[in-house]
Amino acid sequence: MTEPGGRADTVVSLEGVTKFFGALKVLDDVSLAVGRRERLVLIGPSGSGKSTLLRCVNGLEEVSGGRVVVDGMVVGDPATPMARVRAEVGMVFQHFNLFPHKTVLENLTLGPIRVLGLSRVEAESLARDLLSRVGVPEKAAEYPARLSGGQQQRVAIARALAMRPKVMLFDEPTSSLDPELVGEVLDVMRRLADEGMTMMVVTHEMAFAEDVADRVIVLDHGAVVEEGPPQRIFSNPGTPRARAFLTRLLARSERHRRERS
Amino acid sequence: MDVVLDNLALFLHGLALTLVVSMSASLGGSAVGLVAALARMARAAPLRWLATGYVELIRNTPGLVQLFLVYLGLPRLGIRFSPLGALVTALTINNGAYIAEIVRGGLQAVPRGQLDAAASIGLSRRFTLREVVLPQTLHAIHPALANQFIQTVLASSVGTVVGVEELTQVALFVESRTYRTVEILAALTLVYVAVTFLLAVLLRRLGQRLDRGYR
Amino acid sequence: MDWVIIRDNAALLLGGTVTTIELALAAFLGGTAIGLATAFARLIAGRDAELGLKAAVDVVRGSPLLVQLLLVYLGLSAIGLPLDPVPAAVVGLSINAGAYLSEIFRGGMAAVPRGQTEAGLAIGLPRLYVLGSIVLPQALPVVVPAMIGLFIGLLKDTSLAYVLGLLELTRMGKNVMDRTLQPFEILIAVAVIYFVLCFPLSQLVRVVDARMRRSGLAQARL
Repeated sequence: MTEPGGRADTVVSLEGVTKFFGALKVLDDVSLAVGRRERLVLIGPSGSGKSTLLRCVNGLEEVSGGRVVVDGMVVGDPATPMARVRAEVGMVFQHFNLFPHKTVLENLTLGPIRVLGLSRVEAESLARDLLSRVGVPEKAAEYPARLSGGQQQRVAIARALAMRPKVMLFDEPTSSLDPELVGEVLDVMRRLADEGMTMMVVTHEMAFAEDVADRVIVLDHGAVVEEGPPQRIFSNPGTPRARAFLTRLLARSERHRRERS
Repeated sequence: MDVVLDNLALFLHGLALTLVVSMSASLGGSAVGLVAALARMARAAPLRWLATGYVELIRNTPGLVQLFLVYLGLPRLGIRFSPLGALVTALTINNGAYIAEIVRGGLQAVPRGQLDAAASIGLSRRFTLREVVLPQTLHAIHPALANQFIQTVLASSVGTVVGVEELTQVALFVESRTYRTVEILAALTLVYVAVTFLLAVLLRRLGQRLDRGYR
Repeated sequence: MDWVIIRDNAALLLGGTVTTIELALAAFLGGTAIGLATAFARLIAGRDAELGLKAAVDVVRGSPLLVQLLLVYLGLSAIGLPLDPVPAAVVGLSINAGAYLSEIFRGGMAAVPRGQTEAGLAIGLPRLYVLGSIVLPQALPVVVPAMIGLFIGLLKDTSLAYVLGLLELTRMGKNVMDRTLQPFEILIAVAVIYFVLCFPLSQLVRVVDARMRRSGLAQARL
């Protein structure tokens, strides 16, 4: 069901989204729209609701109030099967979540065969192509346990891309990685952005945000407190809490970057 | 030890029956246990209570009493078993409850992130259970399942009480004929030890094969 | 279904229940003594003793309790040291419980970080004292729930003393049902009694387990 009057190039839109976990309000009347090819970065202190926000976009969490619209489909609307929504949204997790009992290739082909209806030949060809794009083509027959963290996460990105999504969600994709492995994952994400993928990224990597983001959104206690281009947000944040948070974040990010070089 | 060799055919028959009974009860028990474990996670409360009741009743009563109930009690309800049938049935029901607990533990050990990943690719709940959750559960529980099988082999000895001609019964039969009590019972003990040891080694090898690459 | 028969024979069944409980308690005490001694001996004594004890434990754990009971009762009598059914059952059950308990103690103590033992020895405390006063107490959060579990197992295992003719609950029940020709009702009553004995204890295990994990007493990596 297409959203009447919606902007044709809005891929994801949150309208007054509120989310409670029991009595705890985790998202507070959040409204934002993500346009095609836009790269959105979400930052904020822990507990600010960033992950929950992402998880509402692909229906892993149900909103308590307001609504989420993805590519014209209302998430959670009984008329729209969740599988169709999720086929348009790719998600990359902090802990990779690769299926350990399947090879890398099988991890990638499972969705396309099962959900998109590709034949095994088509799916494997697609998978190998994606593995080349993320830089681990030789690992196709390996099991995830044999790969480094950075390689696993790149495979996870390829697995999400295999579903040909319209938007990719990244939930702290590098937070579980050893410092020297962060770069290879960020490079893949950068290339993805250059190729025009619409992205919503939750991250602490400020350099990445500055380079890649079109827009940065600062969340605190479940509400949007800042919104704008990275250059402005990082050099001149409005609220004192945002300023304090960003100072700490920038210092930590700088430290990480030096560790990696 | 010559008394064993003199009656080797009998002992081998007894051992074979012990193993056949144990395998049947393990296979049957695995099916029952899997169903019970899934039933305990069902959305319908009566199904959950039924499964939980079954597991708790079996785990908190002795196997011998369960065997008697099947062999001596059920005829009152019109269900009659041969001694062998009663033994296999009782062992299957018994196994099912313990395997249900093992499976339940394994299911809970599968990380939540696996469900998230499967959902975000768009896999259905049923497919996810079959292809993502259960295989990982198997990897987690196969040592416990192996142990359960070995316990079943030992438990099959209660069959002697109702006259099933498994290993212990054969030994007692030979003992009653030859009065070589200590030798026979000692030999019987060692046969069980050897069998369970070999099974443990075999099952461990199988488990390693299953886990290849996975860890 | 004639359920009145249960009330008529309640006294007998209760007598059997008392015997069951006494057997289980006696075997638990005996088994704890054997298990502790075995576990300590294996950690302290030399290689030969360790191997011998390990073999003994493996033999007991690798053979059926029923066979062990018969071995103690019939075997001892055959070599001229006859035991009455009750002492024979207690001995057999204690040895069986002792083998499993020794593994519980060993496993629990192994989970306590080596540093604890090393610190105790470095101060100059004797090995046995270190094991008993420093390592074992820290193993309790792992060991106690397992011991309760084992006791529950003993309550059920006493039913195997049936084959020695001992009047524990199962044998008593069999006698009653053979006499009254009401197997189903009596067996249900017997099963219910075992359940009433065991189920609360199994719930206790869960509570104790959770309580001890939280207590922080556990240095042991669970």
